[in-house]
Amino acid sequence: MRYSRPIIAFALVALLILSFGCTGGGYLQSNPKGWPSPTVGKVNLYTISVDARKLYALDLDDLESKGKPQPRWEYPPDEELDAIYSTPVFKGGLLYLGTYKGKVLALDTRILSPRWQQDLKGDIVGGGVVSDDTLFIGSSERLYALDVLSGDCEWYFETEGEVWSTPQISGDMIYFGSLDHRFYALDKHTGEKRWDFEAGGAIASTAEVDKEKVYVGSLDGKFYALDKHTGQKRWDFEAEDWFWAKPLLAEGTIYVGSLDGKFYALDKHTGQKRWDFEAGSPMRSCAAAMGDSLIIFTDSGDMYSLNPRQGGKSFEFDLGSSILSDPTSFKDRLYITTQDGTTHAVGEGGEHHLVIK
Amino acid sequence: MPWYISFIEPLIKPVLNFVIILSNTFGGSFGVAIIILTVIINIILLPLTLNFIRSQVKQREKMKDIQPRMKAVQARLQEIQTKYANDKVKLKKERNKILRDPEVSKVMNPLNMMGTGCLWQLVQLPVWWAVFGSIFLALAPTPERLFQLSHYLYSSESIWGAVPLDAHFLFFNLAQPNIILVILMALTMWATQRMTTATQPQIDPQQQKTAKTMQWLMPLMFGFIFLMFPSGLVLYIMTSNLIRMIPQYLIIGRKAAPSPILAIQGGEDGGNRGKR
Repeated sequence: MRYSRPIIAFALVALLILSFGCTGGGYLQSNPKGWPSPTVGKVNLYTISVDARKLYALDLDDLESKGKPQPRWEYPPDEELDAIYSTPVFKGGLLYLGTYKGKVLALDTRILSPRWQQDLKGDIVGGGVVSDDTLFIGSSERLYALDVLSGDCEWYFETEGEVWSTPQISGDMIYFGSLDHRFYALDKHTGEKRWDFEAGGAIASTAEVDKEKVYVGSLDGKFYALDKHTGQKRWDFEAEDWFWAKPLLAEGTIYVGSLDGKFYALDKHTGQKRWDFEAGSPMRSCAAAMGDSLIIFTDSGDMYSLNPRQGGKSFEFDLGSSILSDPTSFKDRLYITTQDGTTHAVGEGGEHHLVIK
Repeated sequence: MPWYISFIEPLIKPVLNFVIILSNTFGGSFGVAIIILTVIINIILLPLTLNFIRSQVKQREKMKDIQPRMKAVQARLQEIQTKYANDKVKLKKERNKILRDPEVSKVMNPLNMMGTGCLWQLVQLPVWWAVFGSIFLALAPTPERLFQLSHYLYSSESIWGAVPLDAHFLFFNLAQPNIILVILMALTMWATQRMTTATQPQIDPQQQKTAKTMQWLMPLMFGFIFLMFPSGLVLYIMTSNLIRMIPQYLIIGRKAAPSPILAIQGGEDGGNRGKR
């Protein structure tokens, strides 16, 4: 009897901890995994495995002829990369990578050695974009302009929230959203703010820009079309959940998926819904046009081929793991990385195969 | 979504959304939201807490009534301890005989105390699930976790507009473990344990030793475990302990009964030492 109190107390503690384990179980994995997207270079397809934490270079010719080639090389050979959420940028033989821990790496793909690396000391979630020898990339609460040759900071612009979107360049302007609910337009040479627009929620997605407007979704469940020059709202469209995916603009229509499980086709002039498709699972991935079809990917790992005019489904199949990254296209194929670390190749007719795991 | 998350989702969703609304109402401070949530939960659980504390007081009153008999029991225990120092089997037998005395065991049986205590803790379990799950989800320290969070949110502009939450509170990042908050939590836990055990009668020196060990072992265990958890959860437990001390102090206060064993050993002084 005298041990009953400590035993009961221990049992209670164990029960409490266990109960928390049940509550938080799947969510104890606070370690970022990443959702990197593949990139096409001059001769290679560069893809990052979220499981192996390696960057692989796959010969594009071999990919066409063999389908599943051996990697030409992997990087880093002896270590692991940090989590990567962005799409690497390839330009002039250099591959620019931004890691979640805030490191920007300019990897010389010929000698497999970093030309430079810059520690921006903040999370990098969005990708970079190169224009006029400058790499623009968001890290923590700043948008940086880095010299592509040295990695030196030319200027930075500070926001009140983290910058998770990939900046988009049009003319002399650079456009990006921030988790501080604002969408910014800056002069790309000086970093001077031209205008900003306040949405009802954080802006985590990447924008699409055309001659007149900027199109971007927000975590307030709205999709916005803004005047490219003034930032004035032209129209908005409301979904039943967040917009986090990058939109696709084709033939006067904006195509974008929402976390409400629906994929929307909106008139780019008015914001009127042309059609929607019920995918049944949240979408963070950008849609891709392939031939006469529109390919969309969902969090549950499904891929759908849709008719871009009516939204009718041609085919679907399950890639076997959650899809949060964006696809990249090369010739008549799409390449997409799933959350189990696999990169798949998808053809227009629905043929698909595993490229690397 | 794992099956156990689906099972507790009905509990988590309302609390999670409520804590986000609180955070939005109080200038986006998630730390303040956690504190207010803790106050509200403790107010809701107050009848049960008061019941638990009153049962402790009642136990203490009973103990006062049988104090003379307990002194005798204590003397008898000490006597057999000396007498059968070399015969452990006999010692155990005699000891059990004394403790099985209906009048003694009625008051001294720890299960009498544990009954209310356990119920009190068990009722808190679903609250723990809901609060811990909510805080854990709401903090969303990585992009994946923010993506998951959307699944648990109600469609409301004020909720959607509040995420991602600012995890910074005073000098702490509530999404990360923090040793200072863990130490404070362990101290408050130790203090509440001490207040509770001061009212529990321990006739047996062994029993009292165990109770004393538990006083520091539990906070130590919790402290060790919570070094690995986001400090938002630690803030909840710490605030909860502080709030619980108020009714405990008001009802039990300085009138906590002296532990009989201390009373026997130290007379008036021993009695004072028992006051917590």
